[in-house]
Amino acid sequence: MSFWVVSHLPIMFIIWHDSDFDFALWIYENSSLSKEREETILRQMPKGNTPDSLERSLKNHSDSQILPLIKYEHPDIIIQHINEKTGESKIIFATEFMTHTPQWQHPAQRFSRIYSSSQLKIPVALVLPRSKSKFEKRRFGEYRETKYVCSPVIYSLFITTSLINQCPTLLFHWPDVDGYLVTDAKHPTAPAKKQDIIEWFTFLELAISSNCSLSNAFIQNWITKLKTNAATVSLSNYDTIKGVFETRNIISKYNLDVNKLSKSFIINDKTLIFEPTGLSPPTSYFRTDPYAGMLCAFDNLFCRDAKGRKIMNILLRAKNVELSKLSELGTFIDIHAHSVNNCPFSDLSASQKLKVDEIASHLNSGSCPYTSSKQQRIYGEVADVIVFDDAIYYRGDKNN
Amino acid sequence: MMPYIIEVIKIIDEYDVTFAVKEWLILNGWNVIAFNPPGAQGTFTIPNPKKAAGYRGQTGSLSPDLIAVKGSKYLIVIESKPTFDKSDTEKMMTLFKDRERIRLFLDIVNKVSKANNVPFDESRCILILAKAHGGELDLQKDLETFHVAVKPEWNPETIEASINPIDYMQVNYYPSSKEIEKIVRN
Repeated sequence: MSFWVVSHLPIMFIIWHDSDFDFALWIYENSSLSKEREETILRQMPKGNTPDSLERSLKNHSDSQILPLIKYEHPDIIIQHINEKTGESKIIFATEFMTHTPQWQHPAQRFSRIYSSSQLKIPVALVLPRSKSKFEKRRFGEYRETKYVCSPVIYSLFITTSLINQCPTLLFHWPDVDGYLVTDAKHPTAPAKKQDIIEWFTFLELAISSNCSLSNAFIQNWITKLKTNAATVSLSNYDTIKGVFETRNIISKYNLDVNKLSKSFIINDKTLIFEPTGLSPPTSYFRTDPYAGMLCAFDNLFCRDAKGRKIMNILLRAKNVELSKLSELGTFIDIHAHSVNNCPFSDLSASQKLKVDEIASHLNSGSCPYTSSKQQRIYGEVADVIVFDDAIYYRGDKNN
Repeated sequence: MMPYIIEVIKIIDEYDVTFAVKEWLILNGWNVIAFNPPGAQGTFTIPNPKKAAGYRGQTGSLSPDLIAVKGSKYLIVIESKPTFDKSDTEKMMTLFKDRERIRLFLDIVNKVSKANNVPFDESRCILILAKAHGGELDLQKDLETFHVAVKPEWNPETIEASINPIDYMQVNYYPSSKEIEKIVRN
């Protein structure tokens, strides 16, 4: 079966966007990409991770390089460079922009769009308001302005992530006046090019010129600046975390099958239990936002050493949720036949190494968790184990 | 027997309708302070005055597709759809008959305009409501209408960044009166 057309590719940059092409144009017009002799193309990312959606959007073999970056969730922008002379295709940058109020939950929710890029050592940024005002109804019905500010923990999360992945994972603020966002006059879904956004473009230019390592002076200075806003992070501050327990006690308490656990799970002495109470509200059988992003954030904040190695396991306790019902609904698929070694989502080299037909066959196999729901992609593959009310779910990729 | 006539119609999506009218407004001297097409970051939300105190969710909130200011007193609000949707425009008309909602809306417009250095005097404000759509043209006497069409070669999924997308789009403005036309057009 031929899945994609393998075409002759010119030298080019591709700005992959999440359907807002005017935003991608803002990046193009305000960066050196509009001055490069190389052509730049704006491409729409796949709308979802289903095989159909991927098949509609991905046209060339090099397009499959974005798969590892979108395996959990799609960032707003991915920039790819393709060089005809060498045949080399390289993802150079990813970024997410957020206009919501910046207290802990909202940026944490979006962290699943940052998490994989940083792990893959692709420079990545989140742009969010430093402060944002909202009119909110008070007890006696009157409206008052409430100003929300960025949680100090978010700065800590980005600093920690940069260090453990040895990859610039930076935070920038959307300019505002008294909590009201300042937008670009021509491209109003984008921020005005002032204050932090000028620095965000500096970061992007470093990525375009392949000079974007953690040791770069600009990046070092930016991390130092982020540190001035950061706070010490403590497990006890989060009511979604039940605690940290001895792994052997956890195996025994939940009757986990050691043959289905990874080696590292058994080696790690401690296991963190993530147990949000709002996972099954009346509106959703197995809610993702904001908990899926929080899970990725807690993984980096509490469960990895300075080199990014997993030193503490994460168990997700999904109360009032049954795996059998999720299977019935199609939210979870059977991943027993999934071939991790031939998975184009696993890392950047895998998608390059695999042939087009092999990628197509993998995506259509019906057993790849990354073509499934957001619940299975994030909860299923970031947590080591999910304890449902009726069954235990073990992560497919035991190497993560 | 009538011959079969096959007409090739390029279906336009809501994003393209909203984008094309945004470009038209800028060309006609408007300051766009909110551009909320589907799939983009929402930057402007009018809370629902009917919601319970203390409720922090967005249920019932309104995010018009386009809001723009001109000459410090004219304010246009536009709802976009791929094709004309009567219920959608009726909903907008109803919402803007709600005094409390208008009060909140003007407060936010005032703050957003100030932040973006756009002159706006809410005490002199004249509100213009409009709809934008593709497909068949449908004119309504109490609303401004923007009709948008795209050229068959337009493909929003793959765009050369150096082109101007508006060159592939056509916006026709149908005013409800000559007086309003003088304000809306440059």
